[in-house]
Amino acid sequence: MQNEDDAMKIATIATAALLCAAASAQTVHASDPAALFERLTPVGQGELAGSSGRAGFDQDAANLANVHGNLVGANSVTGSNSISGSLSGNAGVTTVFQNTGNNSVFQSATSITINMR
Amino acid sequence: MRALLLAGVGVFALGGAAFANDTGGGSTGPRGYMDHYAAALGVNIGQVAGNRSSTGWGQAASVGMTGSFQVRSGVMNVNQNAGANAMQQNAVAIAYVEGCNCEVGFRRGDGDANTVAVNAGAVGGRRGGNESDNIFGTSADAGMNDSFGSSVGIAQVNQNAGANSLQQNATAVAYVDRLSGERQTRDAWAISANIGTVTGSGNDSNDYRHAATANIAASFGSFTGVANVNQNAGANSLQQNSAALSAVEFCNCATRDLSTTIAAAGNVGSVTYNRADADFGSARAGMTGSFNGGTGIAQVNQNAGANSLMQNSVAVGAVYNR
Repeated sequence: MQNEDDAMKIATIATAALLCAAASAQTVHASDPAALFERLTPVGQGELAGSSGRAGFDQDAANLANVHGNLVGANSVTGSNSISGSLSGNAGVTTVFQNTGNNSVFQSATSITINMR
Repeated sequence: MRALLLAGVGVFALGGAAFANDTGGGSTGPRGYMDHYAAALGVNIGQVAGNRSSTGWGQAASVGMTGSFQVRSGVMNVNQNAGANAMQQNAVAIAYVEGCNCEVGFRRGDGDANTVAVNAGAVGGRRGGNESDNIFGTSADAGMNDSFGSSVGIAQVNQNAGANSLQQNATAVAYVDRLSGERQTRDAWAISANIGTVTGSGNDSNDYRHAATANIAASFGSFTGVANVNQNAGANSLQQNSAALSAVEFCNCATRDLSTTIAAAGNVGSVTYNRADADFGSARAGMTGSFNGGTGIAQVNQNAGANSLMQNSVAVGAVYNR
């Protein structure tokens, strides 16, 4: 089926991208930094001297979802969701999904960057 | 029943440390290089396709956890299944670099911690869909009681009593600390991802007078760390959690200092061309007295319905002074 092919392509591409990202990161690390940046204008020594504790960040959280072409029979039940006495006094990131319905999509993506000096 | 299960599990961990002294004979200056490298890779790949399951006449399927994993520390991966044609996968990758002291000591210090945690799963696919029938007074129950209280670390739990379902958790942690050197370079990156499909030529679930329940009670109180929890009692569902944490800690003792963190967390999910029928039954998802007083990341998915997809991802990058 065409949709099956599309889904498998997405999965394959995502996997390949992930592995390529991992491989390229290691390659850059092992390369000569001077060769990588030789076309760029260097920052002066004085400016670099004041860069103690500087940080580079790249945080990303993402979800990609597809719920399509599913069928639910007539008279199918949808039930109850309940949360009681929960999720209090927490510190950090808390995400909860509950579902008793049909043909639903829930997605949550959180990205946090912390820089403390 | 014809069953086909292809599952590959790979776990790869690499760590190394190097100390090089190029200061020459008799020098009283700082020694040469402190170089640490740690890498970890956790991967699961699986497929469930072309299966058929049929239960009836009062058969009850349940998974339960009670009074478990209390006051524990470390990595806890738990999968429980009482459904049919289901897949559950957990991947954890941790890379940690800790030098000796936060002092000049060396001329240069270099620390790298890199992690990748990935799950790829398919229920259905080219080999054909899966079929499940629950008829006349059957039930499916996924429950957790009084568990994971006051524990510390990474807990990834999948509980399933439904059919044709896919549950995946991935967590990647990278951490660098206590480098030594006049010039210090730290690099921590963590990538976690789940890729899942419940699709193909179609998974089929037929329930009649069937009760489905997913419930968490009195669990994960005062938990510290990363908690990824999936509960499912429905059919044709996909639940995924992904967390990536990268942290660098520096002491501000170097004359030149550079820290880099990369954290990427993602989920790719697809639930397509499935069929679910639940006549005259019941479905319930509940949580009571849980996840109170916790610290860190908690991602919880509960499902008792059909044809649903739930995904959570959190990426945290931190650079901080000791």
